[in-house]
Amino acid sequence: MSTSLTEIALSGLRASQIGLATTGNNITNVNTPGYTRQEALFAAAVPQFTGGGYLGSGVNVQSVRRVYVAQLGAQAMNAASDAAFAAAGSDALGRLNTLVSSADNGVSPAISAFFASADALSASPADSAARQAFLSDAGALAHGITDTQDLIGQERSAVNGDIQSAVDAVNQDARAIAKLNASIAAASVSGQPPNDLLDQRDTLLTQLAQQVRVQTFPQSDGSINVSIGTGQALVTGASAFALKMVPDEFRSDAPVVGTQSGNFVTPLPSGDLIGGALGGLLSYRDQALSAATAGLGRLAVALAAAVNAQNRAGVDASGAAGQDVFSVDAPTAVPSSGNAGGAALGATVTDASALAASDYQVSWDGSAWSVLRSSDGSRQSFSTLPATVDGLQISVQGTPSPGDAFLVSATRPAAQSISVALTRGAQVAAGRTAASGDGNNAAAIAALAGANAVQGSTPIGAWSALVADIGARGHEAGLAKTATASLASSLSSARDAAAGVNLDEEAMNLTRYQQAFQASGKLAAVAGTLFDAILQIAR
Amino acid sequence: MRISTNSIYEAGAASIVQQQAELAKVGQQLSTGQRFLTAADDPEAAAKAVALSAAKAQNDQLAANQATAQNALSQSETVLGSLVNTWQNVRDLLTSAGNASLTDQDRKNIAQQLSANRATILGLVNTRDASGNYLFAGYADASAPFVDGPSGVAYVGDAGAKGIRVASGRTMTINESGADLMGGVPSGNGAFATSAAAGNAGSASIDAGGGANATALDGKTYQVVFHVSGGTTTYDVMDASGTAVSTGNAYTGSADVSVAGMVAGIRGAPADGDRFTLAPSSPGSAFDALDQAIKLLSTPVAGAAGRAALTRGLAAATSQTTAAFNHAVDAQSRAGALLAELDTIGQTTTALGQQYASQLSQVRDVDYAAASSEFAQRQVALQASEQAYGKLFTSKTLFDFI
Repeated sequence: MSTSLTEIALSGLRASQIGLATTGNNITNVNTPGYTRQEALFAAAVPQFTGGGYLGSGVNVQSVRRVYVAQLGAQAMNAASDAAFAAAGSDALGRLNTLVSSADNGVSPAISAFFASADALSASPADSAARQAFLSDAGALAHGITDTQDLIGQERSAVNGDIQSAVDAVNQDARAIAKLNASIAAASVSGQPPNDLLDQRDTLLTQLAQQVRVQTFPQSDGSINVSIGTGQALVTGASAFALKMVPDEFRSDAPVVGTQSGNFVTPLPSGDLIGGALGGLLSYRDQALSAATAGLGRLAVALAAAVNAQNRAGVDASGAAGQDVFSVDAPTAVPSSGNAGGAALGATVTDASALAASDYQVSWDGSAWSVLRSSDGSRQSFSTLPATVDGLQISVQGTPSPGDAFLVSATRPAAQSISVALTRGAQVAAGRTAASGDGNNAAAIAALAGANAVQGSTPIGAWSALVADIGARGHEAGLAKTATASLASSLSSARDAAAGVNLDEEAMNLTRYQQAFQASGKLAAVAGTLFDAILQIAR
Repeated sequence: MRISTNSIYEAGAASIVQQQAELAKVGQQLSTGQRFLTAADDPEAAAKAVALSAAKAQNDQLAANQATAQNALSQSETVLGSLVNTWQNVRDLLTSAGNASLTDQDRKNIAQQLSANRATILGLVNTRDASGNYLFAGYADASAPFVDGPSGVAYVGDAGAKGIRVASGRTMTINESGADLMGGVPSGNGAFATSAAAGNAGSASIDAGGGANATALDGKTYQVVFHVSGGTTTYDVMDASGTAVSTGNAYTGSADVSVAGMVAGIRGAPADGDRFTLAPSSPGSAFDALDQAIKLLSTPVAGAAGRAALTRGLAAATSQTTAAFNHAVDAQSRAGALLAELDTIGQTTTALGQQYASQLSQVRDVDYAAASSEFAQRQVALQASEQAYGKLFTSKTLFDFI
């Protein structure tokens, strides 16, 4: 009996020591990021059966486990994902808005100044200074548009760089998680949870979730499988698949993200990669940034077409018929890199005032042509080409294969290329006749300021609508960023409420285990005294 | 509910950072004077600001146009005023030339004064503006509209109306056509004109005609043909198709031909086959009328027939110059009316410009009073957060007690 008393005392000492060690671990790791507080689990040892009943035989430490509530952790992870998505979108839109607002100080006054100089020209059409001023203001307008487009192009390159960084981060995290999966699976064979490895993996998962939203599937061997998007596997057990950026089927400046297995990369539709910074940047690039270029280009095409038509209706200072004032590159129709057929599409602007601020995806399914307007996702179907959509006439040469697709854009080439085609003031068609005092044509050009030349809006109206659109996106994104950030922080607090270390609580645990240790020590001393007493009897 | 130690510190820090960001934002508003830095801060206001700026720019352009119109119309009105005075002078001279006691020499003097007035009028209608463009030439304003030549003054400008947009929806015509100003003067005596055929061999002449019976005027052209055979001179009156109206009329040195309500006197010695025409008045040039009057007064008057011819001629000249005078008066009053309209429009434009400026300021500029008080408020909030965080360090934990 005394021997079992010693064993009971020893078990108590051991348990208290483990408790103290665990508490000490918690205290020293209070500032370790991602650390989940640990607690020792005690259980009464298997009792001994004696004739007089079951006698307890001390305490066993069953396990040291993390106080981790998986549900809270998952919620916090998803919220962090959403917050990163909103933050990436909002910050990027902040840059775009600064760009557009500073362009507002260039494009909008340039439009007003151009029409004002047309007005001044109509009052003194024989004045060569007035003619030169008209051309200078036309040049300023064209430069305002192309400079803004250049800045948008630079922003696009920067965003693509950020997307590449995000992809690299995802790959790094995925590889690390896979390695940890292997370690945890090996360590879990013993039956005890490898707490620190589990903490590390959770931290990596949260980091990964901030790049792209993930779904996690815990496995029976302790590893976690991770998938992204609509179920594409990223980490399976101890192996990780890499993400890679590949060129889009149409354009080189909008690369898409794909999963790589072996040498083959399967592109993921950008709309599937929601959540996280990667999702936010992709959504920003393909929606807001494209909308900015489309709106700018549409303004360029419609304004140039209206002014050119009016100038051609008049005669210049030498009596010859007026020519185009602005020159704008023709619409492009780029075939997909996956096209099998030998067809080439062409596009011309037939009605610039009906042009929409959008690109178009034109595809052939074997029996009909389908035209998808990128800005709002609406579709039209035609059995043959040529067909006209939104003032753009699309025609085909050659034979397409079913599944061939083309990207038609009138807006992008215009935004990049608008320039003044006239070189001398004398070439401006200020009058309807060659008489030196006839300024009626210049007056008609000036009147275009109030004409609905851009899909039902005036030129200034179209520009201000673009500013408002980008502004509204930025505003919304700002609100989303604040809302998701606050939700993420409150869910993270909720997780920490269960899993975080509270120093005061650990202080209490210290005193508790210390006293238990002292008590067990006293028990051992008593057991020793009893043993001494028995030995005395035997002498 | 449990809270971890880290959460306490994190919450405090997050609050301070947040307050700092808000404070910095208000500080930027104060220093730039703008309520929103990019359109994302207030998309609606940004769009409104673009639209208002453009409207204001257009309004400013209209004001510039009004100034241009003002200058052109003022100069025009001044020139037209001088023109009116000159025509009045011409009429006065013509009236004085009808005095029966004047000699040929007196009338010649008057003719010379009329010539001087002619030169003045020619100079006035060929006036140029500050840029060197001719005022009364229509669109062809690079060269003088009235060109003097051996056969009189010809108008070489066009009928272009120069319009300037002075208000949205109001294009003002700022010029007068020289053709309308100096033309449209009925030739002859106001009712009909007489002329001698170019190939007449004799020395007879026909006067301006007059005393027409307005109700009998039929608007047709008639010819008087003289037949001289032996010592007898007769004349036939034929209509335009060659049909004779009256034949064999006797002519003894002078005759008053009367046909279809038109009466004209012929005197002198016609040759056989000489023709004279009586035609309804057609719109002609005031310069031609003036030239006719000068020629009339430079010719000596002979006898009663000559006297009659002079009277008729002076009457014709008076009616023609009165028509030209009226044209000038009308043009001057048109210019004056447009100038008055410009004043009214100008007031509206100025008021509108001020309204746009104030609306733009409302939309775009920061309200300094509100922003300053918000700045002070946020400063206080920041200080409070910082103090609360500071307390965390000074308060005791359980470790101090065990």
